[in-house]
Amino acid sequence: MNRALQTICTRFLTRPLLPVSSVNFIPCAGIRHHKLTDQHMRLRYKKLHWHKFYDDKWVQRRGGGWDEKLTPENISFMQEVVHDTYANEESPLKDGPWKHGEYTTNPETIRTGVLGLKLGTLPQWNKKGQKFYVTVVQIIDNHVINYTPPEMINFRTLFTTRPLRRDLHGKVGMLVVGALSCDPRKFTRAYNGLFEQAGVPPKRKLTRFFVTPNSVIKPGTPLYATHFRCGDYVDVQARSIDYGFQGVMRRYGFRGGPSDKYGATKFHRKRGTVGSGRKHRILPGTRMAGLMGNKLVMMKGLKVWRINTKYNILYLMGPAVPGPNHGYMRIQDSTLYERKQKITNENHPPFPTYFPENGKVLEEELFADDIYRFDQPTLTLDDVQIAPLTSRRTAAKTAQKKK
Amino acid sequence: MMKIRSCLALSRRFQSTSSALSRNHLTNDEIRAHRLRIFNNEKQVQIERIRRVEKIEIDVQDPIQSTKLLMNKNLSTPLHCARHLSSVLVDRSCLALIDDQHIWDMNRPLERDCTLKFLHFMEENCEEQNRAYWRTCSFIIGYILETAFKSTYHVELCSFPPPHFQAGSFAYDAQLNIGDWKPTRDDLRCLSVQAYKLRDRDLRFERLDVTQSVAEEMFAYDRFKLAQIPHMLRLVTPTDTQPRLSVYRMGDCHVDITRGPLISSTKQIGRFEFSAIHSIDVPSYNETMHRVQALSIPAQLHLHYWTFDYLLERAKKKNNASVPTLGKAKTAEKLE
Repeated sequence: MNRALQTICTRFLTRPLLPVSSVNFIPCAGIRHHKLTDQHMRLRYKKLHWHKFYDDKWVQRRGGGWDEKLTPENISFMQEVVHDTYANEESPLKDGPWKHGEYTTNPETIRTGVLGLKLGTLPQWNKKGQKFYVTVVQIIDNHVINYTPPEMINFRTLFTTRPLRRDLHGKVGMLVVGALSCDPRKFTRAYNGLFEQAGVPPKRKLTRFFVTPNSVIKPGTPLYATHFRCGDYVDVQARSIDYGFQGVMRRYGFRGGPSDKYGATKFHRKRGTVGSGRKHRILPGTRMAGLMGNKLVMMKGLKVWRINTKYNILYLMGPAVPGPNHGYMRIQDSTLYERKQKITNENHPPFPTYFPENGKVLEEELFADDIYRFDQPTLTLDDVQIAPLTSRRTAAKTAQKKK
Repeated sequence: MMKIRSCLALSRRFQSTSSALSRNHLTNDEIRAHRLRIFNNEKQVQIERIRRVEKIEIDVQDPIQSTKLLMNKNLSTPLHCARHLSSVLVDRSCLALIDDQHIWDMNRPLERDCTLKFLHFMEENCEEQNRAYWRTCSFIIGYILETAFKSTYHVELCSFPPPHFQAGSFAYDAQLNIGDWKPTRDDLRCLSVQAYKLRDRDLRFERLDVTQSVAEEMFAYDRFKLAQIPHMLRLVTPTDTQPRLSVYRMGDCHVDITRGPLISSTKQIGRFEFSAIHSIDVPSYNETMHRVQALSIPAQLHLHYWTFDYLLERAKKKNNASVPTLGKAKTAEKLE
């Protein structure tokens, strides 16, 4: 497969996009005493697995990869065979498509999410002429692999990296979505067997989405970028860039000490004191050097500015979407209160997902309302509001001037 | 319950010089033991004929090592030569090449001064090795058919067609006396497991050239084999006054007639899967027999399971190789 589209192995290959400078690592939040650290979160949600990638109960994925020593003709023949096995898009299953559910707001409806691949960042402009950055995310080869109804799930022993809401226990089913089709000869027989029922080629990355039973989708259905609409807001979950073991200056933005110019002995990038004077112990949650990054981070309320339907690309607000380039991310409808209020029974995203209709061809590029499109006439000063050059005078000053 | 064979009183088309003994009271295991006993006796007799141990000079030419070895005439085999050189040769060589002309079994004693080369499965041109491999696998199907069924069922082996890669599989034709049996996927898998057990036992294939009388005594209980023996002897070009039939024994388990060279040992089997059992009409014997088909690749060729499964789908189709025939076989096709 294309090397550029491989998942980054955490801890070894990840590096930030922009060159490292001190500007990136000073947190604007400063010191927040009420902030919940990893340790506090772990104490609260005892099943939190920040750094764990997989559950031991899952099947081994990678297989093959040795040199089979076939003749060149045989190699090309087998590649054609692999291609032809999955060439026809029709589902091999005999029974027809499942019935589509109804979108309801009162008992809330949770739609599936989608697995995307972060490609990079681009600048975009809005109708006021302001520039902002967007992250380009490709929804690559997504198919629904499996559905488990809520009765079959044991919510007590469920392995999730982020805990599931307590009020949803027992009410949501689990959809498995896969991204990026691959050659079956790269995987073991157990892993390939997961995809036989859906009739899709084996995927490189799998993820779960917990959905309400009315938004269930039949295994084998593809998911596209048009699952979202332009102007919708999404939440993105991804593993942040792995910086490895980092000191306290980079990790928390401590100020450190002076350079050697001022005669400072052995105190340049250290933490300083760890104690509190009174209690003869180090308080739990004390910030020290340690592993930075490579944990699941959620960014909420990102706006979808643009969608490219040919390549299934979403343009999401902001350059700071977690993860390195070519990293996978889970994209779901936003759970923010104000954003959810805008969605009603009449005005909701395609439910349960976008199904392409025969004969109807979508435009290649879809834009949100307030994005500026370069094929439109240029912005003029009438469109843009200019602030007056002079500052607003206080009442006292105006009175003084009048005198 | 013993099934009484109805064909004893059938047509005389395949009557041989000696008629088959009745085997109604014998199980497959006992018949097999009888064959092995005769084989052992004959082998003992042939070894005792060697009065004096004479030495022959073997020039081994191999990319790993090239040496001249002094070995015993009619006693040393190419395997012994390989053992003198390296374990890699012992494990991977399946056939030997004498004087760049004759293909020789690894376990067949050498008879004169010669140059020796070892052949393995990963060479550029391995047509002969592949044929020998599939021939061996057909031989193994025969053994599995004799041993896998319950003692109440009589299996009569007939013969196997020569290895033909275009057919997609190798086969063994046998009279299973089982009626209309449609084996399920699990049945075929159980048969395949028997082959993997053989691989773990690492059994050697030994050749013996026997006269017609000994052969007929060996296969006294096999009517199909008895019918084939005179036809086989007519095909073999005799170097001595008495034409001899080549009989192979696997380990100490199974004896069968086959002309061509077989590979060195069962350790070299890689994947072995039984694909299908089809019924064929054999006009020479005037019977309907079963053709048991399988697919196998040597252990040196390490294929991904997905590629092998694709080949197995093809192996399930009916093998169109030649049906066992008795008659003036102009081409040397039968029982190679």
